Amino acid sequence: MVEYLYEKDLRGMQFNILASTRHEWVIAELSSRYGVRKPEIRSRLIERLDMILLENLPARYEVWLDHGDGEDPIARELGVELLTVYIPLVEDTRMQDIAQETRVRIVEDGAHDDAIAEGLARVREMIRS
Amino acid sequence: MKKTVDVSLPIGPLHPCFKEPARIRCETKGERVISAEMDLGYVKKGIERIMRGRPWQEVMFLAERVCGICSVIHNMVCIETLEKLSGIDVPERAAYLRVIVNELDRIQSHLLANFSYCYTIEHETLSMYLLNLRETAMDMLELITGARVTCAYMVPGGVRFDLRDEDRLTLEEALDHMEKELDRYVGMFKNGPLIAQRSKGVGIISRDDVIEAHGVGPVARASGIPESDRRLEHPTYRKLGFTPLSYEDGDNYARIMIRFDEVYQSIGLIRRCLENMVPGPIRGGGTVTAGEATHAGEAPRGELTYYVKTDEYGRIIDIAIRTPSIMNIESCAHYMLEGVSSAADITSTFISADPCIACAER
Amino acid sequence: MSFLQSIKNTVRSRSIHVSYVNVGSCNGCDIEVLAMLAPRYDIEQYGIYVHNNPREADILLVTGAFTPQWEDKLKSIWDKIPEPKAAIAIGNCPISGCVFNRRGSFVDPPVAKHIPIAAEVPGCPPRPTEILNAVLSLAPVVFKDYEEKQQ
Repeated sequence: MVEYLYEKDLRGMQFNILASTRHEWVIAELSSRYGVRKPEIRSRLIERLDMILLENLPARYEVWLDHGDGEDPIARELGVELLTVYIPLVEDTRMQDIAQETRVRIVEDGAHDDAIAEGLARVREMIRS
Repeated sequence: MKKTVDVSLPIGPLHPCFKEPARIRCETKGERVISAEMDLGYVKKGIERIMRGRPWQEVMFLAERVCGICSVIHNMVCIETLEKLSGIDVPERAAYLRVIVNELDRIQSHLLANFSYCYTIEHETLSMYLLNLRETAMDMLELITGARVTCAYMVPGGVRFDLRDEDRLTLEEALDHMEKELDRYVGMFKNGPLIAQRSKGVGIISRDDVIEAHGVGPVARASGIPESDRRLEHPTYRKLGFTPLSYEDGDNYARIMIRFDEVYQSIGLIRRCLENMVPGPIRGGGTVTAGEATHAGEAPRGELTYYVKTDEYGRIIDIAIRTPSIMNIESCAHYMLEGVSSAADITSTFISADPCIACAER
Repeated sequence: MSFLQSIKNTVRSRSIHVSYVNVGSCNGCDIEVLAMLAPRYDIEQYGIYVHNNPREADILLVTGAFTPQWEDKLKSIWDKIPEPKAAIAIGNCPISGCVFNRRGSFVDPPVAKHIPIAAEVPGCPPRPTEILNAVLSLAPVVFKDYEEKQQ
């Protein structure tokens, strides 16, 4: 019988990584930005990212604050690059679709705040799914 | 869906090339790496958790035990953060002595990193030469601070020991010796045809990718980002007229060469410190008070940031340490290893980023 | 002592293979183990070879306080080492946990709870010469007349 020695459940250790002060800050920011509860964000991060990226979360979030999403204010409000490049939690194509549809709605309806709110709600569903 | 991954190749946790336990899981197609992930947790001790609620006198010693290779810079940044939040000034001579010890630490750390790389590409002669040269730097550290690894040389308001005149002569001799020997070894590394084949064009990381993953230190400077050097913002280094170096290629060869060049630079900085130093007090004294501060310094591996919050008795309420290895290992695992063409290059690329798992996990 | 045993003793005294494992140290002890390779200390002049491969090792150097990831792994590394074998704890961490053995940390020292430790070298970190001395003084105790002691 082959022993699967290395494929151990690492979720406890991944949670320990997320417990530091800087990580708490990043998770709080993400939570307030997208309206997802903190434990849910943590469990999604643990499911989808590997351990060294979890360690690097605060640095990557800070880089996004400084450089991310360039000149595009709509992408910045939705956090397109934040969730696809810097903290890859969601699929790239679906995120681009949401950003594109939000842009179209703003041009057509002119209701900037509503469109952004709807876009954020769709991103929230994607993070949760 | 068509399956493109042939083999999932796990490396580690115990591997002859790694100094420390880490596990890389590479998804490969043939021998070409498509993507890599890392498993950690082998050296997670929870130092930040122990530090909370303890007086700074204890935290200072815990801080330098975050990493055994670059313990001096952990000591220095921790103490400088405490000085910043309680407004303590350092005497001039002590400031120069700090730079001397810090640069000696950088020399030994860079030589160790290059030793590991040469050992990994199996150039054992050169690696043994470098390891022996590192012992000279360790001797000088021991001469000034009294210990080889965990020396706790810096305290708020100064340093613990002065540099005696006869020790200064020994230090100058050792610097001359190191520079002379290093010329030979760098020549060996530059002119070795097989070394160039194993190193040039392997594990390339572009400037944009480094910025994306927040790569720091030699990894960033080898990809053409000299401004990432935190020594530019340090008052003593400014006084010494420090200018950072950089390479453009971003491959393994550039990362090793930038470390060699920085060893020369460190020798120059120590010489300038010795010239500028005038006799004077080395300990000004001062009390650590309540406050909150973030401070960054340049460790041998890159930017090291401490966030510290204290109460009025000098106890640490909250602390967060961001070590350079976190960023460098991440940029190595997710960018450099992508597209590496053989299993032998995986380890050599990983070692060229100078990973320090003990730093990364704390 | 049989003739065969004396040959084995002679051979073993000049060929000790060492493997080291870091079970959660700060790296300080590891680089001191590594420094033993340097021409200054020259560990190979005593017939000690650092391989870092448990399957061909005789002596296991353990550094570091014990972290939870190693709970199943250290024992299996120890089982992979062929007899005769011995483990040496390097530094304060595997002996007592040193500064890390406080409330709230993840470590679980001493290492002696998990594998049998034959010798201990205290220090934070110990000097390379001390580690070398420990290996050299432990080797004859474990390996000399091993087969005859077994009977």
